[in-house]
Amino acid sequence: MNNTTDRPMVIQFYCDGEPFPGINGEPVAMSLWRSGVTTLGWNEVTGDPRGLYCAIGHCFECRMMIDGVRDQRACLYPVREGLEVFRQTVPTGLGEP
Amino acid sequence: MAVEVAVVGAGPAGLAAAGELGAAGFRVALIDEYPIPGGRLLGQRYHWKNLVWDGKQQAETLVDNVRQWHEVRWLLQRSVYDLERAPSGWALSLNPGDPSVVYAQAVVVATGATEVPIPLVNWTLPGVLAVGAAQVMTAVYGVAPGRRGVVVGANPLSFAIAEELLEAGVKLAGIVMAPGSENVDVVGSLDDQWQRIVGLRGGGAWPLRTLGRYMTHAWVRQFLMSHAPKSGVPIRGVRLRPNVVATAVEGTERVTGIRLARIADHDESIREGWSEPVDFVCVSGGLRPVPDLFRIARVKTAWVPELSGEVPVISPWGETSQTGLFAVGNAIGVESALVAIAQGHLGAHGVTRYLRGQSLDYRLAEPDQHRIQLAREQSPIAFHPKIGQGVEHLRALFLESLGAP
Amino acid sequence: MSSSPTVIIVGGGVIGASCAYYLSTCGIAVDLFEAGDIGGGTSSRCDGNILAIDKDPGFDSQLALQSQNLLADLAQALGPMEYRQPGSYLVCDNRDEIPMAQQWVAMQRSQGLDFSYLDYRAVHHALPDLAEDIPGGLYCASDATVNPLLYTHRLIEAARDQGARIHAHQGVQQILTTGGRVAGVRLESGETVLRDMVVVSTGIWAPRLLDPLGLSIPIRPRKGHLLVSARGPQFGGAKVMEFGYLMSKFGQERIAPSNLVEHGIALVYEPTMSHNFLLGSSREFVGEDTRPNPHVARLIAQRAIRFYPGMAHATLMRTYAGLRPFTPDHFPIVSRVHPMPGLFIAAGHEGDGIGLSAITGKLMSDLVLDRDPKVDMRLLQWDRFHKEDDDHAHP
Repeated sequence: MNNTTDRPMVIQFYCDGEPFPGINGEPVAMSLWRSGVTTLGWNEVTGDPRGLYCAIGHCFECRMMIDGVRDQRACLYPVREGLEVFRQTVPTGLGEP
Repeated sequence: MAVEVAVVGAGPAGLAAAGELGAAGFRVALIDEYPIPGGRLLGQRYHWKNLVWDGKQQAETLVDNVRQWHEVRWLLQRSVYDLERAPSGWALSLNPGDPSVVYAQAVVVATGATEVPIPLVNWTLPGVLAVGAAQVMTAVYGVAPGRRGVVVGANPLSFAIAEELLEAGVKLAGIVMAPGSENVDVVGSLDDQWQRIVGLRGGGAWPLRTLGRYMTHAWVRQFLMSHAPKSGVPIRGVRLRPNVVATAVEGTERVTGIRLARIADHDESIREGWSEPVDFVCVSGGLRPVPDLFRIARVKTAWVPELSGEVPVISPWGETSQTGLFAVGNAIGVESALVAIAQGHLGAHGVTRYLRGQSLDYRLAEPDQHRIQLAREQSPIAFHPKIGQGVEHLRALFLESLGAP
Repeated sequence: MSSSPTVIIVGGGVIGASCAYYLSTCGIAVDLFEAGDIGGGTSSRCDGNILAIDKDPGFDSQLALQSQNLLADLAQALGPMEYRQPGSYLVCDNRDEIPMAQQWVAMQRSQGLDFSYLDYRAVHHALPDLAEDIPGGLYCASDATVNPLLYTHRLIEAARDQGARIHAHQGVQQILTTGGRVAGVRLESGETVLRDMVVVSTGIWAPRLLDPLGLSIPIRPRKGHLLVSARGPQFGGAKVMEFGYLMSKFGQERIAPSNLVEHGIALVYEPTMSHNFLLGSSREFVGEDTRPNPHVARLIAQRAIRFYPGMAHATLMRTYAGLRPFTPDHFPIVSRVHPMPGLFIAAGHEGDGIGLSAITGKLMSDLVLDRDPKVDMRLLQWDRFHKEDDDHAHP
């Protein structure tokens, strides 16, 4: 069905420029969680750390910039060798745009 | 892309429908947001009676059954964000596209259910997960959500997943109650949560089954609430803590603890509180069907509490109020995968009749409906104690709609 | 006129809320009845426009400015409602619009309004994300923006603090009369509430209450779409609209693709304090269907990308549509109804409901208390539309 049921292929991907291991094909959020990275972004208004919640693409709490495109759901996006992932939400507080 | 049938959702209901339709020789597009098919089956691993229910294996069987038909096109990692009538039937808009639109003569919507959130103070902290997320992480990807967690909210799913977590070597501080709320219909008051536990049948879980039967009585619930120890009642290794309620999540960068309180004897007011260390919290508010595509397609829906929420009004063939649009699976009522699979077959039969111009007289659906009822009776878990009433109510709404202009 | 009037306000959107606020602040006992949720109708399906930039010099403009000033005061007096005053821009799509834009600025400045014309260099300096070929535009410094639903709730809270009684989920079925005067209302529950004065502020639903009384007002629902972006990069802090749709004021045809004209598509970009932005706009008469039309949404997005090419990569969260109460001369009805003593109307604010809400509430308090509104109310009369002969004597 996919690589996770056969012999898992370990790959290297990058989050905010830092290398992380992952199993080819698993969602980015899973690879990051396994490496202890649970903050996937921050609330732009309050600065609170945000991370995985539903894991099936419903809540959009896991949105990250992946493959150069904003607001990708890290709980759905499969990881692969060399993938670039960025935490995109930077808190600046409530105020003038 | 133009096909005869588009199936939205590759969980058990959608896979069963696609397999049946592929076997009938139709050109099918099977669409799902997730990179791998199987839906919620993927994470399920339950013990009941003397058998083990291995959801991943069930999913593989269903997938293999679909893969043998070359006329079934797989469109994974794509979301359907619009569903509207087109001259030839229906047009489905996909994101990120490739193709951007799928034209289909008939559509089967099998988009399943979603979890009901339970807002707690600080629940946005990383480490607070929907209980299904903990299941996906552990059972599908072998990632532990943490070392020690707690499940907030007592319902059949809480128990099933708590058992899976324990089996995976994760420690749990038990299942505690969610703060009762009149505003959150599906979670309900504490008494409602107790009544949900009644839905658990689980053959091997004899204390739970017996407990479930007794808990239909209000005085039994009151007694247990007053007299159960703070540390909980162990049920198959899972500590149910019926008179302890979660009030807040603790932590700054991620979860470090859960704030709990004891419930008073005769009312649900909170008394003293204390903290327990955990590094993840599972929120288990129950499931509710996802009505989004039905609303977008202007399908007539109804609120049926026994089916856990808003569902389309469907004929016994699974056809909605919109011609050629069928609905199956958890999207028409939260039940088990066995029921979803049976409904998938029924929906496929309905679509087959529709496309071949055969009669869709609802009385002809009785044999298929009977198979669904059998699946219902064989299921280890009922998500609502009055599911039968819900099914009847929906059928009554359909019959009413026949009379309406 | 009793020394302490008691008034029923029908409709709890921004107009009803504003009336409730100004009336109760003047010591009038108010009962407001809203059929659904406060602000749950048109006021939660619009953007936060508080504009003078698109108003004809004269009455139109003066009314808008007075309302802007009142709103600036309200922003201080009421709780937080994401009120900002960054000014607003109109940008030209093509060179043919430039002379009109310059004329528009000149007309406004001659009336003392703070407008400035922006040539190519100036408009691209002010709005660096604009498409390269945009030839120019204009700026109005007094324009402001607010969160319309928050604002409506703040008005209601403040009205309540002044003693107003607010009844949500209690709709009015019928206005009751006796001897040709207003007597009160019958609620949907069947209950009757008797008062001397009734203010109808139900927007597109105003004709429904007035038709049975033999009073006809030409308010029609006009559908407008809004797109909501996800939080992320914004494209400047001020509202930007396209000048093109003002071309009809100059007797000119707007030069734009026909599919845009068909749905009344014109760029509106509104950044919010929540780190996202709203995109509009569309105008069409399609009955009372508020279901978002994905084709219209696509056209709005395409128009936005024409002006802001960088927006092509922005993420949109959702679309919604609202029904704005349109009147043939684009002015609202803020008026006594003389044939029916005790009856008042505050409705028909299409596109300017938020902007004109404050002045409407203030004028309604003047009308109820029989004070001089200091505004020529004839242009806001309920029966001005089918007056061939000029027999409206009552201001």
